[in-house]
Amino acid sequence: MITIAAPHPPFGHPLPQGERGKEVIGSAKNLFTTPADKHTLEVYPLSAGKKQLKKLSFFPSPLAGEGARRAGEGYCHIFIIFLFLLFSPTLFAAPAHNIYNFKTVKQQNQFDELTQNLRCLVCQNQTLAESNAPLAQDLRAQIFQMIQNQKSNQDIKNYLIQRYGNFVSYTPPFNPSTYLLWGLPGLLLLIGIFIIRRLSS
Amino acid sequence: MKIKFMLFIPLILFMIVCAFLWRGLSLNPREIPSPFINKPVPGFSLPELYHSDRKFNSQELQGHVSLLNIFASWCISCRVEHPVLMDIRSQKTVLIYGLDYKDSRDTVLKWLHKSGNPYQKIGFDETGNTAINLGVYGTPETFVIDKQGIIKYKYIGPITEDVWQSELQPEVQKLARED
Repeated sequence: MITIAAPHPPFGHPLPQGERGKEVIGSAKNLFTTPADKHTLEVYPLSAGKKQLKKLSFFPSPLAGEGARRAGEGYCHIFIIFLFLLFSPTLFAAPAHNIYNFKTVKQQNQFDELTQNLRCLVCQNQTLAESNAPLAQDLRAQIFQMIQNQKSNQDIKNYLIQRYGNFVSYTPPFNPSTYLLWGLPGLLLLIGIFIIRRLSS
Repeated sequence: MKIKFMLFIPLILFMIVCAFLWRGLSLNPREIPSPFINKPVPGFSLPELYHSDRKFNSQELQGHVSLLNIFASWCISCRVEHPVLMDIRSQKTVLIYGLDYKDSRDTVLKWLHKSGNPYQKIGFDETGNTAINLGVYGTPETFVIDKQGIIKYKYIGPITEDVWQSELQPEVQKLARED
């Protein structure tokens, strides 16, 4: 038999009066832990059921009335997460094509497709569409110009590959130096099938 | 016996992957190989920094071994490599040409006046479009160009005394011996 006190919720919010200090008693085999709270070991009897568990792991909102707090009903953390999302910088981010005036939606889509599939050379983990590096801005301007001149996607990609190499493109070409890269997944699959067949026969 | 060998295949594959990853640790992902190696310098014609009415053409890079250094007065690492360029100029082994990238004329003239001008001629690339045609993605970058105007080597980042002696100077000397 183990005796473990009911957990205290994180961030110092007091538990509802009814739950505080309540001892949960059970034998080891009908106890289980929840990963919800890493600060304290939470142990509930299985008989407590899902409903009660939910009440305990959701700590009550400080905005809620005494009654609600007592009942353990509060979605304070959801509210806080919502607030963070509401004020996150990405909400105010504008798509890269916003500063350009496209004649048609098709041209705008072409611009989006290209800039989202080409790598920025300065901030290498960003696409040309995402990056704010001055070079990315210049390259976007060039891509816009080329779109105005009715250049095709392949022409524009070639223009950049000619200057910056295959590094700018997210899809590597199929040539002798990349045979291994393209072929390896299939090769490994074949090796795997071969091994499994040998082992099972 | 065969089955036992098969059991080691995952380990062998794992070690091969490790070997590649280990090699990757000592590679610099910022150094992107230039597609212009062994190709002629892309044609350009830029206003000269000191005489805006005159032009600096890419054809002028033919007939001798030269360095084409892309720099800017706002670029801190260019200031770091500047003394080395001054040194190279004083050795008179190679001519250094400059490409001033997205700069303000006044600032760069003041800076060169104060700390010295290692360049034979400087092209003023205000828009940065010539640099894009050269595949430049940062400053400083330096091309080593042979007598035929073919790009033979590209160094990305500031040239230090060490880089000059171990990488660029041997290349320059090799190209100078060729016809």
